[in-house]
This record gives sequence, C-alpha cells and structure tokens, in this order.
Amino acid sequence: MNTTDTTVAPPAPKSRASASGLWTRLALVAAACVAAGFTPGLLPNLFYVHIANLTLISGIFALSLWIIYSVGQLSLCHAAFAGLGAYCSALLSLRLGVPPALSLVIAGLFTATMAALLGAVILRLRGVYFVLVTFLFGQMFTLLALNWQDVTNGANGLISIAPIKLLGISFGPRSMFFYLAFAMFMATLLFTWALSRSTFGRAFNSIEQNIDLAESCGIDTARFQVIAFAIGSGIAGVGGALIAHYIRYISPDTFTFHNSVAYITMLVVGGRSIFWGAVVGAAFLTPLPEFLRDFEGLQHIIYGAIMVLVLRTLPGGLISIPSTLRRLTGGGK
Amino acid sequence: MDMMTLLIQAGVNGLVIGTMYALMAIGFTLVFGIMRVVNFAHGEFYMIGSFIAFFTYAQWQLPFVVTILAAVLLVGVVGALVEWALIRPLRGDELTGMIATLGISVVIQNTALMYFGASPRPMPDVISGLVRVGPAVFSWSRIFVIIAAALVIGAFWLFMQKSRTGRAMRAVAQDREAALIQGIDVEKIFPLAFGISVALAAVAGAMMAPVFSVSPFVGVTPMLKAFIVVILGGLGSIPGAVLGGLLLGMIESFGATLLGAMVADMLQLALVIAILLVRPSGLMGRKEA
Amino acid sequence: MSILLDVKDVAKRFGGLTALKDVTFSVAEGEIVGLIGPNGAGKTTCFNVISGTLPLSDGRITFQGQDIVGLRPNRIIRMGLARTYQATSVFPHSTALENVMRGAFCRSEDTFLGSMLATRASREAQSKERDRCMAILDRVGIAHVHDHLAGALPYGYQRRLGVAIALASSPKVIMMDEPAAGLNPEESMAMGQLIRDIHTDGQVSVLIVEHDMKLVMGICDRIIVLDHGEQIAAGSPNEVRNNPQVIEAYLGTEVEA
Repeated sequence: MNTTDTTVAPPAPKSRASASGLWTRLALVAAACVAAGFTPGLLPNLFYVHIANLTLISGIFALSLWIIYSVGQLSLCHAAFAGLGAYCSALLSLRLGVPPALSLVIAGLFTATMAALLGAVILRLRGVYFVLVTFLFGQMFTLLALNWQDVTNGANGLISIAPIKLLGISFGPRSMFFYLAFAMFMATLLFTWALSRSTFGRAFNSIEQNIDLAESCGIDTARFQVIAFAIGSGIAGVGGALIAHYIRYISPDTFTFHNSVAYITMLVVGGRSIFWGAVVGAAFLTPLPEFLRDFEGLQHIIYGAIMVLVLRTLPGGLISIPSTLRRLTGGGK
Repeated sequence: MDMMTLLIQAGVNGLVIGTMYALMAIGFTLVFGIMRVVNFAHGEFYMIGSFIAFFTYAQWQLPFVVTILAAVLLVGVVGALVEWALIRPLRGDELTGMIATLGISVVIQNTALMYFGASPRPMPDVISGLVRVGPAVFSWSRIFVIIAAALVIGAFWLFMQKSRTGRAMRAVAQDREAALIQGIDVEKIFPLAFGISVALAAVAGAMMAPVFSVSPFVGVTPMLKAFIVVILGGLGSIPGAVLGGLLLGMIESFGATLLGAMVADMLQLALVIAILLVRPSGLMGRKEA
Repeated sequence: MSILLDVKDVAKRFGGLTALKDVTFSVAEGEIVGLIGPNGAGKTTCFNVISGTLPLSDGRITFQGQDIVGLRPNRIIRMGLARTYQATSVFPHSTALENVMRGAFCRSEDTFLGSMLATRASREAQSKERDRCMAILDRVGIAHVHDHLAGALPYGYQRRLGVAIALASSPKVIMMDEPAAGLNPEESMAMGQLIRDIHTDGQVSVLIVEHDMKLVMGICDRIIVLDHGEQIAAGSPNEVRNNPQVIEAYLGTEVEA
C-alpha cells in the first residue's frame, strides 16, 4: 500500500478449530476422570492422597483467581473470600445444622454476592490502587475473624465441622474426599474453559488488553469487571468451604494474606496468559512445600525464590516453556 | 489518671508512632513515585533495620549512632542491589514489579525466621529516665524517637530540595520523559531511590526496636500502616506521606485510648477504603493520568 | 437530511479551567463535518465529552433525538455513535480479525449461554460475524493481514484497524480523532480516500478532528473551528478558510496548506 508498511510480522499461530477441538477436549476430560478414579488406590499412603486433595483445592483457587485476573485486576484478598465462604458454610452447618452439601452452595452464593457488592464500589480503581484496596480488605477480614469472638470464636477458630455428605456417602475420609475435590476441580476447570471462550470471556479479555477501547466497543466494562470479580471470588468461597469441611477446622490463620500471595504465585509461576497456567502453577507449587516439610522454613524461601526466578527468566510462566524451547531451538515458527 | 493526662499521653504516643509511620511511608511513596513499583518488601527492610540495631547496640554494645549508620549503609546498599538485580528487569509492568516484591518479601522474612527464630527479643532503651510535663510522665526514649525521626525526615527533605540528586529524583517522579530529556540518568536514579527508600525503613526499624521488640515479623504492621498512610496522603506524594503518617499515628493513638485498639484498627481500614473511593488520588496526591 | 448528532451550548470545566464553552454544532445524515483548531483548542475534550468519557459541565447533547448526556460510553456506542482514538488503540495480543470482532461485540447475535456451551446457533452466529468483520477489514484495505497480531502490525495498518473496529459496531456517526496523525502524506491521502469511501458506501456520517488541513478541506462538507475552547467559526471549507478570525487563531500558518 505504501512505503512504511513493508515490514509485516509473521501471522500468529492458528488457534483452536472449534468443533473437532471440542471432542479432543472431551476425550481428555474423560481420560482424566478415569485416571482420577484409580488415583487414591495407587498413591502409596494417605499423606499423598491428602496432598492430592490440597492440590485440587489449590487448583480451584488459582483458576478462580485467574478469572479475576482475566479482566486485568489482581486480587490480594482471594484468601479472604475463601475464608468468608469457609466461615459461612462452617457456621451454617455448626449453628443451624444445614447439611454441608447445601451450605457449600450457599457459601458460594453468599461470597459471590459480597464480592459483587464490594466490586461494584472498588472496581473503578485500577492497577495498584485496586491491589492496595483488596490487600486492605483482606486485612479487615483477618481482623474481623480474630475479633468477632461471638461468631468466629476468634483465634481459636471453629472445630469439628461436619464433613460433606451426599446421597448417604460421606466425603470425610481423605480418599473419599479426593473424588469430591476432583469433581469440583473438574467442574471449575470446565467452567473456566467455557467461560473464557464465551461472550463474557471475550469481553473480559478485551478489558484486560485495552479497557478504554473495550468500552468504545460497547462493552460495559464496569459490569463485566464486577461479574468477573464476583464469579472468581464466589468460586474461591466454595473452595474455602471445601477446606472447612475437609480439614474440619478453620481459624483466621487458615486464610491469610500469605495464602493470597501463594495463589498469585501459582498464577505467575504457571503462566498468566491462559487459564491452564493456573492449573500448572497449582499442580507444581502445592505439593512442593509439603515435600520440603523436613527443611523447616526453607519451603517458603524456595516458594518466594521460585516466583522471582520465574518472573525473571520465564515471564510467561511454566506453560510458556514449550514455545520458549521451540524459539530457542531455532524453529522460528 | 485523669482524662487530661490520658489525652496528653495519647498525643505523645501518637507522635511516636506517627513519625515512625511517616518514615516508613516516605520511602514507600518515593519508590512508587519514581519507579511506579509498589514495594511489598518494604516492611522486611524495617525488620532488617531492627535486627541490625539489636546486634550492634544490644549485643555488641556499639554507640547508637553507629547502629543508625550501619542500618542506613547496609540496607541502602542491599536495597540498591535488589533493585538492580531483581526489580529493574521487571519494572515495565506495574503488576509484575509488584509481584516480584511479594516474592522478595517472602524470601527475606523466612530467611530471618530460619536464622533468628520466631521469638521476639527485647532491646534496651537508648536513653533511660522519665520526663514530667505537668501531670503526664513520659520516658525519654519516646521523646528521643520523635526527635530523631524528625531530624531524619528533615535531612531527607533537605536532600530532596537542595541536592542535585534529590532534585533529579523529583524530576523523574514528576515526568520521566522530561527528566530524560534534561539529561538525568534515570538508570542511576532508580537503584539510588530504592536504596534510600529502604534505608529510611531500616532507620525506622532501628529506632523503634527498643519501643517494640525485635522479631522476623516486626515489619508486617509498619508496612500495612505505610500502605494506609500512602493511600491517605496520595501515592507518590512525600508531604502527603509525612502528614498522613502523623495523622494516622494520632488517629490510632487517640482511637485506641478512647475506643479500644480493635475498633481503632477496623476504623482505620474502613476510613482508608472510603478515602480511596471518594478521592482515589489521596488527600494530597496528584491526579493519575 | 435529518440531524443525527446535536450538540448545544456544551461547556466543560476542569476545576477553574474552562476547556470548552458554548460549543454548538450538529452532524446531519450523510455529512462529513470537520472539527479543527490550534493545539489545545479543546477538540479532543469535545470528543471525550460527546462520547461519554468525560462528564460535561453544561449543555445538551442528543443523538437521534435522544438525550445522551450522562450515559456511559458503551451505551452511546450501542446507540450508533462510534469513535476512534488519537493514538493507535487496538487489542495488541489479538489478531486483526479478532480485533474487529470485538468491535462488533454489541452487535453480535451470539449469546452468553450459547457461547458457553458452544451450541450450533452460537457457532453460526460467530461465523456470520467473522464474515462480516472480514468484509470490514477488506474495506479498510488490510484483509490480507487478518491473522496477524494487532500489536505487531505496522503503524499505518493499526490506524486503519482502529477505523475497522469502530465500523464493526455499525455506527450511524463515526467520530475520528486525528485519523491521519503520524501518517506520511501518501498514507494521509489514502486515509482521506478511506473516510470518503466509508461515508459514501457505508452511509455513515463522519465527525473528524484533524490537523492535516489539506485532508480536512478536501473531504469535509462543513467545518467548525474551536479556539481556546470557544467556537469561533463554522461553515463550508471556503468560508472558514477566508474567515479572518480563523486566520488569526492559526496565525496564518496552517490554513494555507
């Protein structure tokens, strides 16, 4: 067309072909389910099953955090929303005798509602301002949980929370809980995947890339940011409730700022550009400190160091390794 | 004790923590203003400062002046190195830089935990004795903290106003492009600003070590307060940090005296969130572009 | 010719500073209207006020007879009043085609549930949209790079992509903020031709802010001149060119161009 437009970069790699891709993915899901069915039996002892359970729940947290991140906002109160859901569900079942399977759902809805209310007010802040407010909100949650003795039992926390029972099956034992955690994780994963390719997902991604232009495309950016924040935080609330009914004990220490940072670390280390990164990050980082238990103190240092190292050397996270390798080996395509 | 005494006592306590918050917030806001990085590791440098004070002053019995100098130099150099090695490459994106400081914070805090253990260590006062003002009685050590912190803040202010480097820093904070055009070497300003920023935190840590105790977790609260102060005063505004620090110190001290510590803490957080919503740029901050 | 966009006595103050004062003009169906003025005259502010990005201090703005003051930008765009930005503004990590499809977001027949479940209706809606957006890319002359990442496209292409994104929302009026800024004379001329094409083929009215006088004088039916936030002249290119106040405002430099 003209002189300056001569350098045109190579096209982006072709992404998913929708119909056939769907079947491949369904096949993958089925394979994962079959594999999961045998997992508890194959793991050497209950400790490993426990770690698998924690990893699945971490996956739920990391995925839900990714949903919020996908509109370009970083939440530092993700653990607080998990805690909100946990306390809500635990109190419902302890005080009112609501069956845990139901209180779990209520906890999710309650957390999502709280997040929507908070989000409607704070989401007009962008970048670091938003991060700072979510940080402060997390601190408020911790203070409240510690000091509202009548309801939360303060630093002592809530004990003997009922395990989840569904159709007469108790998901209290570790190896039974695994199936529930796996089902919840898969549900979150499939939901996130469907969401990311839905009209909402397109709106989220537009906002993340260029919020002003997104607004100019007729996308109600304020509304979609609240939606993403509410969905992400609501799922975190369910995850927190799962923990409450699994460990059967919660305290303000279960859901601190450091947990929020840990979820962000999973996102960063796994890769932020697509939701698979959250899964990879959770799968990589959750078992790590458990196996480093012998080196008291060292586990957190390694956690932090890995995060900085990944940021420094692999900004795209672990999921970018294949493409980075391809580039390094001179494929160029 | 009558009400009057209580209030005077609260005022002095408010000044003590207020000047400390101001010291913390100045450094924090300096780094944000110049580098656009929210430093989540700021509190850890406060913690390092208080450990330096513990070892040099309480263990090795060196003069307190040496303690302060050691804190400034050691932490300043380490800070500049951290900026150069870890933050510089990630500065491009506000969120990425901030996440890096989260990682640095975790590493520093847990390293201290591993070496020094979690139990708090008491530290002797720098000056002993009591002052009597009317009905109220204060320890000299508190007055000392106020005066010393005021001196440090004054020195920092002079440095920013009068020295070439200080003026260059302000220029960079105002407009990086324009500063570049004026021939300011931004790449040298960044580690310097980060070093100064965390050195101020270390000074605060060293001076507060006798007031609170020394442990790997002492940096957490001052950092939280620095956040609050900086939001009150406006991210990037140094006068805002000083005023906000004093204001928060007073609110906290009087609030705790009159309403109880827990209510005061909750009120603070609610107040800050409210201010952010009404005036996102803070009480004295510039409008974000 | 019916009036689409009607701006009456619009004022905008920032604190004590008056950025716009008593600005009154309209854009009718089928018109290309130019908004010119020296640097800092308030042209971009005027755009931001109309598009809902900035709240206005005083006055009335209607679009197709409906009051649009106080509406959020996304609502105004859905009514048929699109805009482009002064600087290049694209979704850098998406392909050119995806960019345009995002521009068509508010016109899409795709539904949330449908797209979640990837139903046939959703896929058909998407493929229809893809074809329509390809046609738009073709219209602005960059269909051949539809699968390139927008952020990697050359500057001139990104400007055209910006226009394509705005067009995708099927606007009745499109507001262009300096579409030729940073383009060389050749590219600038091509952009002028593109605007004329959009206008005649697409039945779209255009409100354009532009520094390139040759371009403005060449394509506009009417021109409004702002200076220091005030409207100092309005009329045909010829009238404006010979208006002494306008010449004074520009110090007789650019108008002759």
